[in-house]
Amino acid sequence: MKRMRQALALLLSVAMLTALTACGGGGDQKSNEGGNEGDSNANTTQEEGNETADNEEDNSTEKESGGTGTYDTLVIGVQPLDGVFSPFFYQSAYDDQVNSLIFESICELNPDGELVDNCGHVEVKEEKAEDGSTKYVYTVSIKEGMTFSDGEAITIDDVLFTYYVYADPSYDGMSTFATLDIDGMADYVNSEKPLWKAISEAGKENTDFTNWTEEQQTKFWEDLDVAGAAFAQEIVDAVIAGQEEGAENPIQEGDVKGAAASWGFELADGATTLDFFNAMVEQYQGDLATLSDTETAGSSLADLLGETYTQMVALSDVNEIRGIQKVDDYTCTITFNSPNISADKQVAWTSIMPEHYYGAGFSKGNLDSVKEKNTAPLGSGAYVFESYDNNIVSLTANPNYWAGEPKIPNIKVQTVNEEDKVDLVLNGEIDVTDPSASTEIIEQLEAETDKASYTLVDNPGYGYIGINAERVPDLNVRKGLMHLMNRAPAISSYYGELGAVIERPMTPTLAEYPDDATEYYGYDPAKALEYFKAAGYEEKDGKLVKDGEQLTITVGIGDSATHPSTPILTQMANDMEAMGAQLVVNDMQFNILNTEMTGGNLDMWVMAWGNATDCDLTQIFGSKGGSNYQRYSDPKIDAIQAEILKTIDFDERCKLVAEELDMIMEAAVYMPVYQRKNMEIYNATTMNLDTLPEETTTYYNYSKEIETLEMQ
Amino acid sequence: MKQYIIKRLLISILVLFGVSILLYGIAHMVPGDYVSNISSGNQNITPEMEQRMREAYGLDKGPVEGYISWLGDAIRGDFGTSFVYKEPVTSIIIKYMPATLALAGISMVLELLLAIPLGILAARRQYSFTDYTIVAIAIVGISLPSFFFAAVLKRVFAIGLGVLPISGMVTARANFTGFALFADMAKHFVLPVTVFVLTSMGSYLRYVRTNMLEVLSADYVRTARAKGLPERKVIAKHAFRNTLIPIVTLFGSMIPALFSGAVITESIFALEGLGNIALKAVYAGDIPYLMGFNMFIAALTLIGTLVSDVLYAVVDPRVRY
Repeated sequence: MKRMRQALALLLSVAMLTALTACGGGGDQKSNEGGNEGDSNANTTQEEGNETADNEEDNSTEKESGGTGTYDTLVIGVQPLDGVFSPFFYQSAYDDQVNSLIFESICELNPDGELVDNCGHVEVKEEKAEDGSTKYVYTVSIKEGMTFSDGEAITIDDVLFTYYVYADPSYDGMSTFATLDIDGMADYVNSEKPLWKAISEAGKENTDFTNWTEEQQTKFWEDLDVAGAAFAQEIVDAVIAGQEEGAENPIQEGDVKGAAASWGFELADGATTLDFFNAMVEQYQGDLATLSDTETAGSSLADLLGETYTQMVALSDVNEIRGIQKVDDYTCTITFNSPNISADKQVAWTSIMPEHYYGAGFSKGNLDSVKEKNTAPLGSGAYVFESYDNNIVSLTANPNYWAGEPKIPNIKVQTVNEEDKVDLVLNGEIDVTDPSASTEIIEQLEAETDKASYTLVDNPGYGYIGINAERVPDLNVRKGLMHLMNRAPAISSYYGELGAVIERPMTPTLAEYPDDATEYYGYDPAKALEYFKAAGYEEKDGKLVKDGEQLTITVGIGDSATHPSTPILTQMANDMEAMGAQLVVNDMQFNILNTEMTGGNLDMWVMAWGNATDCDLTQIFGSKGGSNYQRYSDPKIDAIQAEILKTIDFDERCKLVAEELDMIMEAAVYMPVYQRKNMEIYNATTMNLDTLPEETTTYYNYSKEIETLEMQ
Repeated sequence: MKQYIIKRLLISILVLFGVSILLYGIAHMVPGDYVSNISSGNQNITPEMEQRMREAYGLDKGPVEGYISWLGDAIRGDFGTSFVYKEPVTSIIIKYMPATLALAGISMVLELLLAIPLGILAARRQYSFTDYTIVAIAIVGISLPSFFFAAVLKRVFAIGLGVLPISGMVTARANFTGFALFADMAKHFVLPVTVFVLTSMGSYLRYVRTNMLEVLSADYVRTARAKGLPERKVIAKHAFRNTLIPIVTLFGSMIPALFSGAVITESIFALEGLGNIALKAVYAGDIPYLMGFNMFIAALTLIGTLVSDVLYAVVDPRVRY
């Protein structure tokens, strides 16, 4: 046995050694090739005329990617991409990271999250409409003389095209553009009627030509007469052909009246097929579709109408959004019926999409041709899409970029694992990435400041604990629960410097967040018990009961083993047990937690919000909000929310938001827990860190100034 | 034989049909659909938008209605468009297949090349030092969890020694082409293939060893030896060919494994292969992709079993269909 163990150890070490030599050999060969490659890279950079390298360090990283210490490629590490490189249809934030390099938006956010000019401008003006209502007219203009990466000029038509795709009835991406209160938007989105139906319903005598032209109308009725006659003729023929041999009064060829009579229609003597058709139209009260389906003797009316019909089915009765108007080649106006604090972002913080590329084959209600381009994007951004294979997106600098050709010739976006991100940067394989911030990572990076640097910014979202007000209807019980949540120790032990407890259910990255807000429900078990007693619970045999039932609360949490809020629940469960109540903690997989929460099957749940760009909370706390999973509504909250959306003045709005948040806290349905930080790390051996933006914030990072970023 | 194959193929169609019902049912039972998965956490999504998206993705229909429309399209070869990737399911499978196939294919060849000779060697020297050593390695390989083994390899060779890349398929920074690209990819494959081979070689090895031992004690081997045949010939011609019979049946079951990918190994080394994206599809609720991919694997499994049955008849003259 002993001999065997020794032998095993020997064998294992031999195997290890063999593997090592094999790999080592391969490695050497590789670095030679890397060296060659590096030479040619250096040449390209010299041609570009921005040789900035004076790196004398000689580590393995550089050997791998070019022994001269010159880099012409920035490698960005991201988590798995879906490969949907279209601002219209992407779902993953990482796909969008690629999109932001390829596409350029009219306006951008500045470090403070405010909308500022980029390659265009937006401004708003109040106007009195004829009917006395106030309209909000946004004028969007773009710089003249810009081109897409393929050299085509950019005009306002491309912007309008972008709006029309977002507003399309068949649009299924993430944009909420179609829900905006733009004049005529609802008519456009909800009009499902094909044009032929609208014209036929309006009748021959119609004189309202807002949605279609007089020509179209005349042609339709003319063609309908021809087609209708042919339709009736088919019936007549069918009736005559279908007669039994030797019938008493056979219907003669051309006897429309007779044929119609046997089909069930009374016609005058000498009636034509057109009369027959008109009689049918009358009977069906103009419903041509049903008429065609029921009466047909072969061909449908649509077949006989031919081209006219196909055209008019493709077109809808509303083909334009009234409120979106072109002014000149570089300007358009968008008219809103009601004020909206984020309207400027909605109309101007959007990528300009080339109509000549995406628009070929686009018609209302049919976005197939736009979707076909999802894997081959073309825009006007700093970089041009080359390929996506082997998990790497290859981009090259756009020489036509309006702000000047970017200094780094190539960008590669590579998919990497979350756990490898830091090692990959330290190893020199990637240059920029965003690991989820942890104290360990910071320690690791602080020890190797020569290799990497990092920034920390607040995440535009927050973690919270929600209570379902339908399942826990008693305000006192909810308040009692709130007083049992001990947030500070949990968050500081989990996040350290990388997260903070927040006091109101809104992310502090928003300018409207009330920074002076104080704790609403402090941790206080005695107070909690008071509230429970006020709600009618009594202690009986060591149990907290009301009407014979013990106070039992079910809470759902995802991945509790690693969740920052777990200690809060653990302490809460202990406290409640000591009082004689029960907290049932359900650890669930995220999908299940989400289903249970949206389905209203949980008394309490632990979740987080992200993607906040404005202080509009109607979706979460409004009585009609789609994400109002706490199922609590209050007309006063609705009223103040409506007020906030109309308040363009910032200070005034801040006051209202603070007031709204206090009302929500008073309702005891949402306990804000933490605000965490996002991390970005940069490779100090390959990048010229002096060219990074001076200020990196939630809304502003290196990608906003990518054209001036330099490598070493 | 021909008749037998045709009969089996016809039965396979029926089996596939049953499998598709089961798969569709399971895919629908997964809590949380695609729309709620992508919209949760995004406070800008309105209920109307969610409803419209459900209609667009066909998620507003019940499972029965959904299955019938899926089946109707699938019979015509249209497996639908993946929710996540927004591309036809078939083209996604084709796109991600090369990585998976290369990884699994190379590993499988290496596994067999190592397992068969080592298995024979171990059997010939049963209860010897060599035998114990080989079997010990096999058992260590079987017992090592791949994620742990992969993490150790990465730490040692990629992060510690820096001789191999940490993850991915090619070096992003370098624009390799031609042979350099091939060499670069080969280098990226060293660690994943090592994990694959060492963790799954063991079971084949033990299989070969057991069968070889059985054959070696058979009468005809003794006869061959008694005839005075050289040992090499006894092993190669008489013993090994008979060992092959049970081994070929393994080939059939290997076919689906070539394409199904190794979820853990692929994700640890950030290789976007079929296994990795199938896992992502499960989390996202991407029903069209899951259906398309699972049906593909189901069909391969059926083909695999058919192939092993046919091969059985080829290598064993006693088997007749």
